[in-house]
Amino acid sequence: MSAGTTSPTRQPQMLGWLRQLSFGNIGAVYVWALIIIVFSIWVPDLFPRRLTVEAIADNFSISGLAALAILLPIASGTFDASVGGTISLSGVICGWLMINTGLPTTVVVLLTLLSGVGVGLFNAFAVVAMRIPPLIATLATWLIADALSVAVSGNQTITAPRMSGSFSQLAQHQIWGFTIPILYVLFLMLLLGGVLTQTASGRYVYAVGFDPQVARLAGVRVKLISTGALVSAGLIGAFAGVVLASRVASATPNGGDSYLLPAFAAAFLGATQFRAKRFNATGTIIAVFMLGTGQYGLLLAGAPQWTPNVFQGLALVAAIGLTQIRDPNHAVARKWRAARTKTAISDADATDTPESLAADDAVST
Amino acid sequence: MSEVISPGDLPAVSFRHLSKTFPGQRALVDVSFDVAPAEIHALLGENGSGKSTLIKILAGIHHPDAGAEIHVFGEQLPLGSPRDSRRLGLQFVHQALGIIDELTAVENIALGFGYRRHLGRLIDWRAQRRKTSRLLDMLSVEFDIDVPVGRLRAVDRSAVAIARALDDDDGACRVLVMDEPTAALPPTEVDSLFALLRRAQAAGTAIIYVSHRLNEILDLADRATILRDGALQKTVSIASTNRAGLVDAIVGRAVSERLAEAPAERQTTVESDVALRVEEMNTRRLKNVSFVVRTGEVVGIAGLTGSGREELAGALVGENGSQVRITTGRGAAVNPTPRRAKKIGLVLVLPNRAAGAATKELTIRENLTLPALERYGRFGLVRRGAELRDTNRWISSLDIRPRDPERAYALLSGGNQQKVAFGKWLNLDPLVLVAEDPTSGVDVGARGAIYDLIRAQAAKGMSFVVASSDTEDLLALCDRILVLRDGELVDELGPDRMDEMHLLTSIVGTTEHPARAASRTTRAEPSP
Repeated sequence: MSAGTTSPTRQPQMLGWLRQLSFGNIGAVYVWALIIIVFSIWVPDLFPRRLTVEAIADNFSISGLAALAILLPIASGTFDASVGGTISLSGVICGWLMINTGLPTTVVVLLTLLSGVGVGLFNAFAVVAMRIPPLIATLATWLIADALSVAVSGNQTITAPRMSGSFSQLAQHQIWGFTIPILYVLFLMLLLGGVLTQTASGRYVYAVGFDPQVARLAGVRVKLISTGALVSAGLIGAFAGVVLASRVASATPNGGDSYLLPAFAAAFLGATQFRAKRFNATGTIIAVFMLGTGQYGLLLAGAPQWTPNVFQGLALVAAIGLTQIRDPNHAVARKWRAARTKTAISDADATDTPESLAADDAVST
Repeated sequence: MSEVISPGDLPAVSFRHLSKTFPGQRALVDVSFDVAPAEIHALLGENGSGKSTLIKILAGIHHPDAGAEIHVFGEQLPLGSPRDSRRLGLQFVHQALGIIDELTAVENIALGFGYRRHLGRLIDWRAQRRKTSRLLDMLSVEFDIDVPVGRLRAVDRSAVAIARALDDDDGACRVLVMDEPTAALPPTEVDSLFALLRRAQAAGTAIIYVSHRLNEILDLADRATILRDGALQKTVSIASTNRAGLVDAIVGRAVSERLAEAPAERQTTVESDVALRVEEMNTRRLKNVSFVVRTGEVVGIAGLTGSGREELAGALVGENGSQVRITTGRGAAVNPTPRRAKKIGLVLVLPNRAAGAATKELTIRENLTLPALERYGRFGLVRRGAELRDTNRWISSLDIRPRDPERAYALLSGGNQQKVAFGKWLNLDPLVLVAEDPTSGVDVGARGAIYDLIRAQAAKGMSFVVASSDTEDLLALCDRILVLRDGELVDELGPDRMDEMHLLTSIVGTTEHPARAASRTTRAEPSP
């Protein structure tokens, strides 16, 4: 036996907590700190204030909810590009119900959430049952949901006194200066994080996301997992729509569209945190507020309107690029390692170049 | 088709002192031989004998140990460089032809050497099509070069791959290396392929031909070089040898003692209960296959690639949908899904490199417990302690290295990956474990460990179906071997015929005993 196995040279064991705090593990937190320092020096009179913290928390909570909405779909290997449409549609449905029915606010909110589940089920039907590639299917859903939001609202912003009443407390209620949506974000982050890391369902989500074939052979109900993930996205997206409507005490058609891309940026950036290459809730939320801090800082500093988006795009490319290089299967990283530990490379290591793939077929006969 | 190489001729390829050491394994030991110009030179040997390594070195994929030299028509080949191998006129057609089914013949051939261009960057489609026709004419094949090659006959697809290899834009292809080219071909098209190869040979190309099918070699080749355990056995002229001579050289006269000892350990399982009953299995290739496996029995499935062997294991658990009735001690299933098969105690272990074997990105722990994860649940939460305890138990009992439950599967060596792929199903405590090519891509040490593992579990009453392309696996492990040919179960080897000679003969199915031929028509009865 001993002749056959060559155990990879072990990294010297770092102390547990030291590893937890390493840049490789929580780089975004360090970048976040750096951003805070930079803006504190750049705009010392406006940026380092409690008000700034409250404003960032308030402004980016909807982004946080949108990012958490798409977390389960992308972790399970599908995709939900319709979340912007879901937010628009649910906001408008919520506003319409508030104005045109006498239903209690709670019922209105529940019905709105139900509409989100409907959107999720429609996505699941297209992706899971009809096997349309998720990006295409959910982009179509986005279009449809957005158009419906125009139809329901009559292409007008819905406002009414009723929406500024107790309904607005849903998003505008304050605790220690913070508006309440940040609590929703933190609660959902803990909930989804718990599901992903502590439950069998969460393990299945990752298993399906990484390799649906293995999951299926292991007896995992792949379709059920995909469906559940897409429905969760619809549900959380609808909740984000309700919170948005409550926050501005009105509902605008197409109001959710701007949340989609930042949500994906945050989720992918978040996946570079903690356990590399895994979409996770905490990393996603850290990324949302890290990106938010940068964007808000730029606005406070009086930078042109277009700069926050440039910042967001660059941050995303940089973060993902760095993760790719850390990936054990990445070509650059492999060359690096090969140069360092020439002898320890086993035959099995080089399975993914086309030549060796073709040649491997030859071995297996 | 014998020929004499006059001393003045430069050999097409000359191998000198080729050795290759992998960690824990010597794949090639000082191999030297010559391939003559315009000859068809067969390369023979069992799996693991070093054939593939030799070809990978020739292709520049592997770098041999120091001291090796390869000359191509007298010119020294820079080692470890695929580009230089191609520059010197070496071309490779692998078993997985490397052509893209969705593209046409014209496009596939252009993939090899680039498109003909005119006006700077525009593709000159007319010139490209002319070239394609000319190459295919050279091979005397005729088909529509403008349909996606996926719609062509198998032999025509091979022709596209060969034509691409023969493409003479950058100097003629002087040496063509073919790896198991007939594996994917229906028998009726094999002759056409041979005709193709002879025409390429007539055009002056030397062909190195790798195959397990001795009849093909006897038909086609001029000479053969035989490797065993990485060492050169001999190079023989086909005219001066016969089938038995080749088999002797491939297997070794005294088939190793390790293999001989295996039958002694075998218990008689005839008396024990039926653990698995498979009835009327039909898939794309398999026709009405039925058999039984008894408790604690290890049943082998043998057959050439294309015989249906490679479909059988997956079909048992419904990997790709199959028609079959399955009964085990825990229940019955018609056309099972993997989930249903798991419920009745029937599980599939795939070779570690195959799609579906295990999840690369997940850790050892997560892979080991995935099929049985429901067992660790309490109020929906996974009991991490119990999970870790089981993981560590399998890590130590299967000797998985490194002993780190949180290590990603992708970072393990092939042998350790294979152990994880076994462990995750053993953890479920199945009744019947179906293993497909359980030792493919693992080294000698891990191979022994996997043998031990299967024998130990079988002794405890677990039943195994081992579908393998590796005769050594089958002979070492199995109590009975079922042989598939053209999708049908045609033979069953019991202890009396459990040796390489009988097995190879039965797999290839030529020198068939009259009695066997009779049993073929009545189709194999499972029990002895």
